[in-house]
Amino acid sequence: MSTIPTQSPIKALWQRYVHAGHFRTAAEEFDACKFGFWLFLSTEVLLFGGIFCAYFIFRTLYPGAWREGSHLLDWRFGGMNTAILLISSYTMAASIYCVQKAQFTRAKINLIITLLCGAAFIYIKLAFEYIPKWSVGKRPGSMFDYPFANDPHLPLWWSVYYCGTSIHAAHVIIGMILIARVLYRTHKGCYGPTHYTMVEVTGLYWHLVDLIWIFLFPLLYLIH
Amino acid sequence: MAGHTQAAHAGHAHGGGHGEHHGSYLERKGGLIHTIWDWATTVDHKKIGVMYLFAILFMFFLGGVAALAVRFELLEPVRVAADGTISGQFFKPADASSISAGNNIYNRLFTLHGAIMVFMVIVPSVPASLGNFFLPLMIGAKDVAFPRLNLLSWYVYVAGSIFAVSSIILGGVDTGWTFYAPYSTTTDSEMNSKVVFMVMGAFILGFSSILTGLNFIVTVHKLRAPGMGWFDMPLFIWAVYSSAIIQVLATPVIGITLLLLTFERIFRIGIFDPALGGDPVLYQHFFWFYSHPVVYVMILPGMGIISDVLAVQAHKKIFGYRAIAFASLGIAAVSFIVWGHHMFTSMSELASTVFSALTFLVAIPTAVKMFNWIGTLYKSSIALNAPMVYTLIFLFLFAIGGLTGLPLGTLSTDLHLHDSYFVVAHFHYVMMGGTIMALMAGIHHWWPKMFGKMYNDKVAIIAALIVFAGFNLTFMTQFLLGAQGMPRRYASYVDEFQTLHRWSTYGSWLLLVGFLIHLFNFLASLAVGKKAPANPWGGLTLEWVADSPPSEHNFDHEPIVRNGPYDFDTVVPPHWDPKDYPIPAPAAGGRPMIAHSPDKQQ
Amino acid sequence: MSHAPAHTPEVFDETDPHGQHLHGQHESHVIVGPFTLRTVLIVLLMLTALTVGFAQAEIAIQNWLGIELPWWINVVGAMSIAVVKSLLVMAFFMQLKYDNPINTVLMLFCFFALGLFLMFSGLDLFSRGLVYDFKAGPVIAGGTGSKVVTADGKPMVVAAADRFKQKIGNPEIKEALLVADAVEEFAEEAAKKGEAGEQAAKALEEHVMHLRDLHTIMVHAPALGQQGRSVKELEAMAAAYRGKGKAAAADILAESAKALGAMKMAERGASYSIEQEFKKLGEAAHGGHHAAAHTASNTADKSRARTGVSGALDTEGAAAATKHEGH
Repeated sequence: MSTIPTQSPIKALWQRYVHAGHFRTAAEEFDACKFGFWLFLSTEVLLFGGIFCAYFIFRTLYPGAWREGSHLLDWRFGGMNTAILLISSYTMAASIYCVQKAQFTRAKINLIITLLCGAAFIYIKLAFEYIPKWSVGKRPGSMFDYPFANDPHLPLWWSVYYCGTSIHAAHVIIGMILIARVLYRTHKGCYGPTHYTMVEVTGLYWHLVDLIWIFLFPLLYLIH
Repeated sequence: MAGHTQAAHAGHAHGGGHGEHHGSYLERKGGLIHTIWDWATTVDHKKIGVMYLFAILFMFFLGGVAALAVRFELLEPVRVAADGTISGQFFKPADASSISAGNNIYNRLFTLHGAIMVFMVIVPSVPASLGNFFLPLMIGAKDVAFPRLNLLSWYVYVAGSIFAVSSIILGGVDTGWTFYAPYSTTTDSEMNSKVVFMVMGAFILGFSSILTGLNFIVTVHKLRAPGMGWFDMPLFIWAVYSSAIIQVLATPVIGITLLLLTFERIFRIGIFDPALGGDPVLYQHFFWFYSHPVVYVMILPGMGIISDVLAVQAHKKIFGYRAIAFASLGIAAVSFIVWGHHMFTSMSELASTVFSALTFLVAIPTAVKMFNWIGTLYKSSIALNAPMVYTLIFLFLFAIGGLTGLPLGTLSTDLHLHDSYFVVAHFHYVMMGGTIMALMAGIHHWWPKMFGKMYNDKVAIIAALIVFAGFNLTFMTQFLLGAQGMPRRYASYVDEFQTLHRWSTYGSWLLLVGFLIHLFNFLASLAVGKKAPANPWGGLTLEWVADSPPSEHNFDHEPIVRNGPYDFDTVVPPHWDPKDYPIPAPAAGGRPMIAHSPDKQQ
Repeated sequence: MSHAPAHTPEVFDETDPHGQHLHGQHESHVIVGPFTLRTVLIVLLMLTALTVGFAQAEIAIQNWLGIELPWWINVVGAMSIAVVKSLLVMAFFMQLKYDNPINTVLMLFCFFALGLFLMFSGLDLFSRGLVYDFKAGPVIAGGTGSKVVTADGKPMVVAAADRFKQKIGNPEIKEALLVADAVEEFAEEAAKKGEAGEQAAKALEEHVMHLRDLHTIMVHAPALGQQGRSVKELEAMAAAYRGKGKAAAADILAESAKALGAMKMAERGASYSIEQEFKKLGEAAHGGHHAAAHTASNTADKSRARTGVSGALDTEGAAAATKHEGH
């Protein structure tokens, strides 16, 4: 019919995507998914709200333990992790931009950087924070065995520290799994300018992980 | 889309019905295995709603058995004779030599009853079963926004229930359904898994609750039928929407609470354990920040059912639609700032005073609803069938439940009534007299729509009256017991309380009889019931536009909403046939439905 | 009866049959450009640096200028920067600025609920002593624990310190110190044997000093853990060592003191340094003498080393030294 050479007669998966039948349009579906995901994010905020509440209460009840505890953390590792998460948040947002613009190679590179940042975060957390601290007895509650503590409530500080950061780290790992899935599916051509819901919501999740850390970092490492 | 124009001409909430016809959602697809597989993997909100309904009714049965056992133990006080023989203790190990062995079993039974009834029955009861089935139908959608998430939430519910109930197999939990720390973190210390299983079960059930709530909020926001504005929604939707907001905002807090409790239990991290520097009252704040709002998750959808059933069965436009809708939102809002009234005896005086004052705020929107319902009944065309009988039962019992909340919310009287049978009776009047009665009203109201079969109305009414009598006998006595000083959660009591305890136990048997009659009535309906018409009660909301039972895609064409949900005075109900269901004449002075006024009859 | 009796066709917009307008839907596909994203990232990183700098500056002011700042300056500073950062992330990375406003409303509700949670929990827990004094502060049974105790009723921090003292007194570490003595001895000998020996001797001497100083630090550690004493303590020790003519040890201690001072966080510094030292001591106890023996075996006087070490004790290190001799 036409002599103009087309790029490919077979459409990519994202071009063939048809929205679910109970939605009227793809835009409505996208909007609904995003709204639903924001609802989910609000539950996540309130989940961490419990940790923040425990922090707030015990900090006020036992300021001595909190002062001593925050001095036992090294802001350099916390700060490094903050920077890593911020950068990964940027690459995640950039990968959404690339998918929107059909720049798939760049999108994949950005996603890989995001994944690496997540891995670096976990590595720093484990290698420079958890393992050295745990091995010298800076442990939560009844497992506490750090000989140089002064404030009797220091074990409680470590409980809040470990609960907060480990639940956050679990979220980082879940986020990484989601990103890996998005990376694979992007590679398969499932996402493109007209359909990128999963990329978007995975991005939202990752930013939330970042958001929580933005608060955990000063609360644990800087405030004393 | 031809359906639109057709419906537009039809002049009311009407999807047409002239187009292509789909099979009922209940239609079997091939052999037994195939059908089971079809149900297990379905993303149809109706099937999921029905599966929820059956799962919840099964859990209700389990919780009910535990309740009967608890009541049976209380038939007689436990006595130890001079020679050491123990009498009046019905549940005890075979080789028991002390009363504490039997008391231990009693503690496990009431914990089981509480945990099952709260986490597995009342919280999901209305939203997950009737809500799932009717929310999309009532707003004219084909399905909920996230059907696969909906199915997931059912499996999560089942998994959570299995987790929680499996703690019985391990020997049961004696913490009470509130899992107060540090008792819950130290009891049964030889076997962590008992409490952990129960707690993790509740944690998992929370996810199911969140997913359902999230799904409903998005569905209501995004999938309302064309022409349906916020104030054209049935009040049931308003109620479910309000409770979904609470589910989403409060449930994550119980998530973190139970997670910390599990850490506490396994690793002894000490956040709630005073011996490790933690604070047990902090646990209560964590727990009640969820568990109080969730009380409204339990009751709000029930109130929604009542608003809808009452208007339809009284065939009158609901009085104060917006007031009821905003009252739902108001209850949801207030629910977040009153949790402290569960902790009057453990909190500081200042906080108790503040929470006590805030608690009375709840009475305002609740009373608005009560008065509006009664206002609706005034001069209406009441059909005294099973749904309506249950609605009236609800109004009576819920009024008592609500009013007895006032002495509990008042600091000085609460000091006397705290942790007594008065509290037990109060929340049973609200939870069972409110939610469960509303659920029964809803099931009877929508049974023809869900299964396409009518049930025997007379039998249902008799059973409802038996339940009503049994309920009052069981719990009215407990108000008296509580006021006289009988503390809750005790396996035994002083002899003076025996008469009332006995009557309470007899009442529980009456309740059992009533519910068994209902069960047989429903089974008979499924087996030999008359085929139900599409609109058996003359309702105006969109679910009556669909077939009975609805087709797989709910509506043949997307319905367009042109009238309010309760405009009985201006709209003829869709698919309504006076032969199937003659609408009673209004009380003297009442305004007739349009279907009755000869000048407007079509 | 506020409900409109029946909706006239004006309410139902035929040109908008899906009620997009009614449902408040917006165009969902927002594209946030890379320039915006990069700018936001840079601002976020700068704010991170700022918040760290703010906390450090505050500590510096307290430590070096001796001004006690009110506690809330630190809290308000750190938290307001965190709030600005989170607003940036939500507005640009999460696109709330461009998105359907319902999502913003939702987040506001969520933070409001969180605020209620914190506020009312705090209202109770911080006002316990308002009427009855006995309700305030530590209550052991059924209240807030006065001391965080182990099973035998000893405060946990004390129990941990006791366990540690026992550990210091344990034979393994004592052994390491004995090795240190032996190694020092042959290091002196090695110094007399030309340049290579001198180098080895220097290395050994440092090692020995290190082991001893570590022991000293460990013994004094609980005292050092207290604020303000650590730097002084270390400096005093350094001076003492210098007085005894042990320059290397004095240098190490002086350096430690300097490092602590440089951190300007007396507590944090001491604990951090002690933690590091603790770790090294652990290594020294297990493998340190092995390394020392290894060095010794490569110096000019191998036999001296062997006699020195294995003569002193029969340790793993000595065995290793013997093994090295064979090569």
